[in-house]
Amino acid sequence: MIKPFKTYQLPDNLEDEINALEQNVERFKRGEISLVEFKVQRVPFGCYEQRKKDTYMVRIRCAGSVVKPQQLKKIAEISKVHAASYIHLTTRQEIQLHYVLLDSLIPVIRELKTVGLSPRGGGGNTIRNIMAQEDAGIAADEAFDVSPYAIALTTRFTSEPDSWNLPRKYKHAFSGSAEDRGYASIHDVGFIAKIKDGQKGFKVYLAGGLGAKPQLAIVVHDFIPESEVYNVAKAAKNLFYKNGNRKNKHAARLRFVLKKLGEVEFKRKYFEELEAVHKEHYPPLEISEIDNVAVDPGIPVDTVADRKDFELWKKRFVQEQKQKGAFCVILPAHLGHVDNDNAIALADFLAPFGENTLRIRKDQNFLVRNIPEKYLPNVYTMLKAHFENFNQPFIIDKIIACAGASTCQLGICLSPGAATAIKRTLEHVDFDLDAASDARINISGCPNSCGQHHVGHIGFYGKVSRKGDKVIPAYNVMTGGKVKDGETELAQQVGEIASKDVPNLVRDALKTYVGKKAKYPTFEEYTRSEEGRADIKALCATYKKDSDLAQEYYFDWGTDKIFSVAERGKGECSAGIFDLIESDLGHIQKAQKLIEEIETNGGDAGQKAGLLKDVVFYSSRVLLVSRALEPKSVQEAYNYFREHFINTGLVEKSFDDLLKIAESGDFNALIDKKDRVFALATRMQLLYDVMDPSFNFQLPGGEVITAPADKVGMTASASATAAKTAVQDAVAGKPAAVKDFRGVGCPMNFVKTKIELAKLKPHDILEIYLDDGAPIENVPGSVREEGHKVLAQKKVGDHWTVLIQKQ
Amino acid sequence: MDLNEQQLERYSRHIILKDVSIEGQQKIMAGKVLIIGAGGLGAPAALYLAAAGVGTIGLVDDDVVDLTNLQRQVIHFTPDVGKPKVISAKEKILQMNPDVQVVTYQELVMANNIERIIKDRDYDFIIDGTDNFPAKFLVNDACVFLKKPYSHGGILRFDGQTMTYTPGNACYRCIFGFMPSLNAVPSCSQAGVLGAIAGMLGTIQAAETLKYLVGKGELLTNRLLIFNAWNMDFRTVKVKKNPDCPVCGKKPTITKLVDEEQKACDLKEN
Repeated sequence: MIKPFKTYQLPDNLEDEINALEQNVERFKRGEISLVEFKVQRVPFGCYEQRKKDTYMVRIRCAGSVVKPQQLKKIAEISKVHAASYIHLTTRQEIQLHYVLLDSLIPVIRELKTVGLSPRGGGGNTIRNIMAQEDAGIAADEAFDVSPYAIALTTRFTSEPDSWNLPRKYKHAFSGSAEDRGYASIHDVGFIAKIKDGQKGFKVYLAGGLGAKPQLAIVVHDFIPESEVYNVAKAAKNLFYKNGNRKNKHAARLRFVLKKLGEVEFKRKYFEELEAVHKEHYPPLEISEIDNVAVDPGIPVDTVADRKDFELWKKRFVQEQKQKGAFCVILPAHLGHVDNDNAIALADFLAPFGENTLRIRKDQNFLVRNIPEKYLPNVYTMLKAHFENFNQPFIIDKIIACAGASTCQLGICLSPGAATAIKRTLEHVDFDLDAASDARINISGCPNSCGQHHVGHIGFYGKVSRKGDKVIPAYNVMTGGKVKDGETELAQQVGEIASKDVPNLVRDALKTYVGKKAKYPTFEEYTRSEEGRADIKALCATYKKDSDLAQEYYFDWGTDKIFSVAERGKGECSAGIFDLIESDLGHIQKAQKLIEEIETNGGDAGQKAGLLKDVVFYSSRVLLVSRALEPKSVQEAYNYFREHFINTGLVEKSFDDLLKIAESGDFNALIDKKDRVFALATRMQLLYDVMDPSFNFQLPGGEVITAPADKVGMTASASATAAKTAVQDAVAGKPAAVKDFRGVGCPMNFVKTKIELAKLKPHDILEIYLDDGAPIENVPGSVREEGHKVLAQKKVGDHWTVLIQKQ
Repeated sequence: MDLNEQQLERYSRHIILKDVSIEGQQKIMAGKVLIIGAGGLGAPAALYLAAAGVGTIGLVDDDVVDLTNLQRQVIHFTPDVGKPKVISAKEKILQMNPDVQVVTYQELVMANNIERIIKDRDYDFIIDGTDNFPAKFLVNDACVFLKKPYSHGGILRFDGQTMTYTPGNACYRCIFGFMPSLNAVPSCSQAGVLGAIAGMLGTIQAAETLKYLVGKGELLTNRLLIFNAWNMDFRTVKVKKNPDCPVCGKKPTITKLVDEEQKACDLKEN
């Protein structure tokens, strides 16, 4: 007799919370609450606004990677009515609905509830989906089935109010063995199952994570008995709740608490919390074991005509479970997209085989389980009927890509486009791709690692590459990522290539590997070997083109718009901007080196003059990008530099002479001024060194220069006395008025700004506070349009202060 | 005049406009506009001016709503048939924007009352939404005498014409002199009118009014805008102040208001 299969239980107060969200939807529609206020309500409910205005993504929690066939069917049916033509499988083993309209959000959430599902905690600073390796319960190498723990911890945590109000998102994962297929060692909280003295238990990791600043988790317990899972998780949650940095969301994850406190203090605090938790005598988690049994539904067995294809498919996608006679099957879904109708067909097919037949893999594919061997032909027939190209080498659909710049504000490159381009390329290769079936290719559109490029055998993350006076989409190439208990290592950068060359690099790397398969049984071993790294590094170099790039290189995959960074949102994507800056600094250093060589060895004076001009030019241009300026000509670069650096006091006025010479074309006049030219370069390097990720210049002495500083001296001592911390001291005068427009949505914040400006006299200064996001992106620009001057804008905690001078 | 929070939101799309801004909106809200004729032209003009927050709107019309009006006089609804037009229009305006003060004059404009009506609230701007030539010339003459700016408008079939008069510039009579004879212009019952034309012209008149109140933009002074909606062809004709104009010329022959003879058309164009 098979035990009833229980997934996570919805919290009792969910209905109240849905009602509250419904009221907020209505209030938002009536204009009673602002965009920001509404956002704060809906994001922790797993509802994100998409780039297409007024459409939402709903992310559905699937604890322990479980989705029952009837739940999948309901999700796909909801999607058909309220969302896109497909459902989306995520790398956190969830299912997302896309393009849901505002009016449909509540109906969708209510419908999901009827099958025991909820998007609560799908976003925001909450307990996110708790993962378990997708083959938990059926894998031969596991200590025991970990999915009941992921499910039980979900049930408990989602009933605790503090789970919805954490400093930042918070992620848990369970692995069944040291292979760490649940990625426990790169999670905020990770559990790896092990048996000690016949007792079930876990090794516990804390404070790992990827993102732009990745960090491996540290071990806090070598072994805890399974009855301790809740106490340990609760203690870690309390630690995070109390110590996470709520002010700066870019440094808020648990790994930043570890970084700040240091490992010793971090652990001390953790164990203090654990002691306190023990005093509470919480009941342990209610674990209900899950039976994995191949149920014979007694339906007719299909016959397969093409035996050869069937056998090939079995080799590629089918595996026997640790339960003899029971089989699991991988269903590839390119980039996690499954058409609604196909999802319904799959659910209907699986229903007779029982509730415990489906999981979501973290590589965004389905895993079907508990199929009796004799019914494998039925699975094959079903796939043939509904899933196009289901029998290709697995690597083709296993590539992981983040959402990319088409939907993500922070994105630089169109990563899904690159993944699809790789797929197209790999579909037409002349070597045995199945020989590289273990390969893991991960693509992120920016440094933030949503595509998990740090754990890829080959990982890519998007960047901007400057070619002459133009920019092209490009990727940094990493190799050698590995996830395994005690051996986890992040991939290392080996090169960079243009976005257009990504598919060729993947193809060529796989081909090179297949030729060396005898030496390296797995692609992972190959990409971690000296030889593999060297091969891939060499490949990157073969694509490197410095001049005369074909037109197509200026376009990213899947778009007909020429590549530009101008429209990218601010925030974490600023890493792309740092790339641009470093490129110009490289030009400066190269020119300086050549100048010194000429001086030592003698050489052409004209050449020296030209190089000096280069230093002046690149020094002028290097930091313009930090002010969102993209000069289209040399003269424009000088103009911007004057306006934003010289006139603001960030660079001494006396350097203007150098610009004038460079503008005049008589570069020989620079030869006598070499020391001044180099001093300018040094100044720019210094400014870059003290620039923070929000583009403020944190000069020695603790003050922050965000903009004009007529009164602020160039030297540390002068500026230390002149400026405190606030922006207003960086400008000539104090604000005549300070207004707080936090919580005021667009365009009312601009309306109110105009009204305040109307009250002031010309040249008076107004300081306003704005929310992050649309307000800071729009209001300063609109104020400039009106002819006023935006003197400075600076991020303070979660909001911005902006200084405006009335004209 | 300070705007309250609700007004800031209501008029935010105006305030955002660089050329309107808070100062312009305040001028609109202090503005007093008289609309003569609550019909095809007056209806859209009144709706947009009310929406814009014009402080005082005067409505002049002696007629009641007729079923034939509803094809183009969008401020009146089916249940209003039989109701005085000025009352029907006032009800809609107040529903849309309770900030507006509506003054109604349920009378036919004549030589003996038009000056009193214009002076009643010392209106800043007048919209001619009348349907007949005697009234159009009367409105013109009264505005010239009282030195009041106004917007002339006329529609027929698929055609519309409009111009804006401000003291010192060309007036309606500078261009057209005297009333056409009855035979020269087809009667409305023969000609008909496409309902949407009324909206096109009435909203142009509303836009002229708002520009005048804000004090910015280029008014249709010394220019006659003519359009044909069937070909969707718009053009403006430059016109000049006529030194021989019978009402505003050097030696005016019209020195007082009189009710001229020419029957309004049967179709109740108001």
